[in-house]
Amino acid sequence: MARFDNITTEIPPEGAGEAYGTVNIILTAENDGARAGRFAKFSNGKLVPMESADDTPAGVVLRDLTLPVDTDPDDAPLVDCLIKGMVTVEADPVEGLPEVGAQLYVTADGRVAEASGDEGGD
Amino acid sequence: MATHLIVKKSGDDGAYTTIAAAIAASTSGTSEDWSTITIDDAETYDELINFGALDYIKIIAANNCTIAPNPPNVASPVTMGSIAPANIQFDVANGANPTLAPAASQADKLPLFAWGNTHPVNLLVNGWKMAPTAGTGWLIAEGKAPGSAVKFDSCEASDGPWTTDKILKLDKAVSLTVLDCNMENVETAEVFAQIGPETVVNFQRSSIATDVLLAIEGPTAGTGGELSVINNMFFLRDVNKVFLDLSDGVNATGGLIAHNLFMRLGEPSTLVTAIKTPYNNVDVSNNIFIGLGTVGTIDGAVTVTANNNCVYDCNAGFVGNWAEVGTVITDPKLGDGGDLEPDSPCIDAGVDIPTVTVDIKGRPRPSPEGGKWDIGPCEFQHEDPGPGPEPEPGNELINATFVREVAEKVWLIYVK
Repeated sequence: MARFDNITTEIPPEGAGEAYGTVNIILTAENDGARAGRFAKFSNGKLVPMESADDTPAGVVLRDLTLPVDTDPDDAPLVDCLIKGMVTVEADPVEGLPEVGAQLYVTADGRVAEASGDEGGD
Repeated sequence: MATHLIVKKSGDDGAYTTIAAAIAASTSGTSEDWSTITIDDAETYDELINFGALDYIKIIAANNCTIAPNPPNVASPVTMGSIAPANIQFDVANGANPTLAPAASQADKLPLFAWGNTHPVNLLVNGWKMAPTAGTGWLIAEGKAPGSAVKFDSCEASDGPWTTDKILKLDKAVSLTVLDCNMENVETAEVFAQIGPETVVNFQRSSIATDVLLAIEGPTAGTGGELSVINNMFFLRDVNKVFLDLSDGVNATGGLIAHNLFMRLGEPSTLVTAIKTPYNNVDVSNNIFIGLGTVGTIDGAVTVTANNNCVYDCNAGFVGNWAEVGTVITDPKLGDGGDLEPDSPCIDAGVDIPTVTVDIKGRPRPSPEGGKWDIGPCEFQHEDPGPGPEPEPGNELINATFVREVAEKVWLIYVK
């Protein structure tokens, strides 16, 4: 518990797309509309938004704090994409929160969710 | 060998300019290959149609033509079977709406379609409008030859001078079929159809105004008649008669009187009786009776089935030994065109009749599929619930785990 508390207390309540830790694997790739703080996929060598939950996510697009303030982050020509490691990401909570360590799901628009989304669909 | 001829008043493209000329040039067809005469313009043809000895011949209106014999052509507009048995059809093509509109002044009850006592006729009239424009005493068809089979499909009778006592005189016909016809403008007819005791009767999805639907007459009681009266609207007058009297008919193979509306327009009648039967093999179910003197009577010591009918504003209901189940005695709440209002007690209140799969307007019955049959000629069409809301797209499991929430809708996760 102390370990988790140690990590979380170091993270301010900021937006999604922040990487933490020192063992992360981050790629820099050309961007074609991928949104920071969400999972994105590769298409024609560029990061593009997820279009379906069936898409294979490449990773979570990180925020680029160096962008000029008048530049839309989604239009950044190059972005960092976290492939492995600790990162904040937009979530689609339904009720409550998953247990620590629970396997997560990705939604069609690149957010994370604690459930498959099929429950009650019929 | 069958002939296939075209009639145009202009005579263009080698067409015959009169129907009579085309008939004279036609030969009999066969049951597999009928001879045809196609009227291919919207002109009015002032001529009588006499098929003579022709058999298996069909007149097709491919345009909104009118056959309107005028005086001095004082005779039936269409004559057939005068020399030999005949199979005759009046049909339409290209969505045409043709009219048979004689204008002779008659006091002798002249039929639009006529044949004699000797040679049977198999007559089909499909999609034609019968609209006498002058004269009195018109009836639609008369043929006494035994073995005749008559079918009117999707026909309409105008509000012309129908002052005859009967609209159809088919004393010894083997069958009479009336499908999807609108005869409600024939308000003056005392009897809609005079048939024989062995005539197989099939009335479906039609609207008829008359005092008596069937007059069953014959030298002896019938042995083979059969009756199907389903999905019709009948408009009755305030007369001391039985609208549908099955005496001397349908005593062998039974009948079904279902999903009809028997309605007295105007003030409720104290006189008219809707149904009278001496037979126990007639099933009277899912009908609506409004404003009548008596709904049903039984002639004899039999028990007759009456399931799930609606009786409203009638002087008397089912009188006698009816096996009456599920009768609804309240306002059926009919809307425009006889449709059931959404709060009608007749909705889903009928007995299941799996052989009746459409209503008077051809809509599916029951509605929704798999539901219950309504009472009356119109099936309330429950709104299609549709496919439902679009289900949430399913999420895909990924190789990441939850760590904690760092802000609203922002989670810290570990991507493996």
